[in-house]
Amino acid sequence: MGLLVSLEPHSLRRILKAGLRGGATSDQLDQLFEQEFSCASTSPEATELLSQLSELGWFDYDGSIWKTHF
Amino acid sequence: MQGQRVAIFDTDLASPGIHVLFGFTAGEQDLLINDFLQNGKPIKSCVHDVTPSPVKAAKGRVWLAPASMESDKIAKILREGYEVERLNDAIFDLVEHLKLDYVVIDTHPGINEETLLSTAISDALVMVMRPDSQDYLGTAVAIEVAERLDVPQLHLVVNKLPDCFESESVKQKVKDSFNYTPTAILPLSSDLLNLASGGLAVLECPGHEWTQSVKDLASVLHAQVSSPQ
Repeated sequence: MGLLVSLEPHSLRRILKAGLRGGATSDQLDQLFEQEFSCASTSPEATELLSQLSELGWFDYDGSIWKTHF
Repeated sequence: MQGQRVAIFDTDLASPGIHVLFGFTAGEQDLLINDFLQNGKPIKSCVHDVTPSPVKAAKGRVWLAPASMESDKIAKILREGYEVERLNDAIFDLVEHLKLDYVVIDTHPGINEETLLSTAISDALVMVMRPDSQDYLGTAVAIEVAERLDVPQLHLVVNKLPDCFESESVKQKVKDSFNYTPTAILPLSSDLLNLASGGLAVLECPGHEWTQSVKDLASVLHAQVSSPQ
């Protein structure tokens, strides 16, 4: 969790925070990407970010929900 | 006392104490948070109904997820650690299982994995501080963390204010220091000192100034969490 606090920029912290509690639905993630990055979560830039977060093991999709892991 | 269903998680694994307020003593067979975090026990088996009689009469329920007071279990969990996200999952599983209205997470005073998780997942964060230089410094750090984690509602509570301190001056000092007006200022009370955590002060001292301040704080939290901005 200390990692979450230290991450920059703020938008990245918001994405990862969304994966806590019960996780984020795809719709919620879409809304977040629109608000923070002005793009859809399916855009090439967002897909690249999500792929990197998944490779790090921080954020992944379990078939219904996006979840954060630290 | 308003008929709500509440669970309390004692996540101060190094020095648990909430069970004392409810007069709960874990029996040998009782499962605790430690058993969930380290021994794979289901969280619903690690919570205990501690509803006081007046609360039950008001159709409310209180469950406690206590942490172990045994030194070897405390040492084990501090030494071995655990996946803190499991605590996150436990809380939300329990919300569904017990149909909870509120979850109260008590944390260790200070910054650690549990306090950071609690901060990140809370709808409202209540920071309790004493009117003491050490607490001013510590609170400043905690506020910075809370702001970085976008806590929706942050409430400062000044506790144990001696009666030689001017309440309005303290309120102003806190506001000047942190840019937050304290939501509550609780007096240092010899009645509470005499109670010595021997029960829940709001039930043991119902007419007390301290109790009224806590009830006012609860009303503010209820109103704000029920109608998020």
